[in-house]
Amino acid sequence: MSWLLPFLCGVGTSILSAWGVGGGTLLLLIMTLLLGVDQRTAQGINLLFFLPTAAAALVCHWRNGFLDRPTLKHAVPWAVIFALIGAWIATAVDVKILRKPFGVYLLASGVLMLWPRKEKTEPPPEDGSKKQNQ
Amino acid sequence: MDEKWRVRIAGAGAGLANGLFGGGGGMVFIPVMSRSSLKGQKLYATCVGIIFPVCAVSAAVYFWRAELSIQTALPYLLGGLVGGFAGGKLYGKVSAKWLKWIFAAFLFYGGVKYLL
Repeated sequence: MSWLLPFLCGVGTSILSAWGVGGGTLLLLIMTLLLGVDQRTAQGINLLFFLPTAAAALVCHWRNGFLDRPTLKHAVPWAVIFALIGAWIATAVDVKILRKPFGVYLLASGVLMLWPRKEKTEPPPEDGSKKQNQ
Repeated sequence: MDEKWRVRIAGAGAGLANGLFGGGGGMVFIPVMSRSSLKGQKLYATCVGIIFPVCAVSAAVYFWRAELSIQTALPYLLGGLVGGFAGGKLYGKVSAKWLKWIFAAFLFYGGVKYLL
């Protein structure tokens, strides 16, 4: 039965993500703070967790013409190179070193989450309605 | 700031944070891009388009270097699929506004716990 709690946590965070709450950090926090998963494993699972949902959402966004090609063209190469650097650092250094920067990052995320921004309060309806068909 | 460089910096910052912390790159990308001409739904959709390859390459590095076990990950991933389906079905039927506050409180709790 050791799979049941992780499964239920996956269900819960995924429902919340579909509603625009949580994003990438909720599952990570549940794993490390509540389920006792070690930081590095939790980060890896969190990365994998995002892929199927994002792939489904991207198909919808592509069909609806919401993907901005010039932005993708300029951002993706830089994003990928720096992601490789980040992931490399995360898997090379002692995980304890990352605890404090991660703490600051969480606090900043909390502030940004509550920061009044028009777009944040209007999650795309296409995602939610079409995800069920994926 | 030149639009091209704003986009590159936003992408680089999102990639670095996402690779380093295993998620949350969008929390960097969206604020940096908030003053750009890209707005609303297009901005969020494009953000997913950037975070997707970022997560894919980062996950590959974690697999390769941190020996991530697929067996440990599987229950979460299967739960995620079920939850995505259920979340889509229930979309708009529940107010997510108060959930956002609970999540923010959880982020603050987590942040303090990591810093102490």
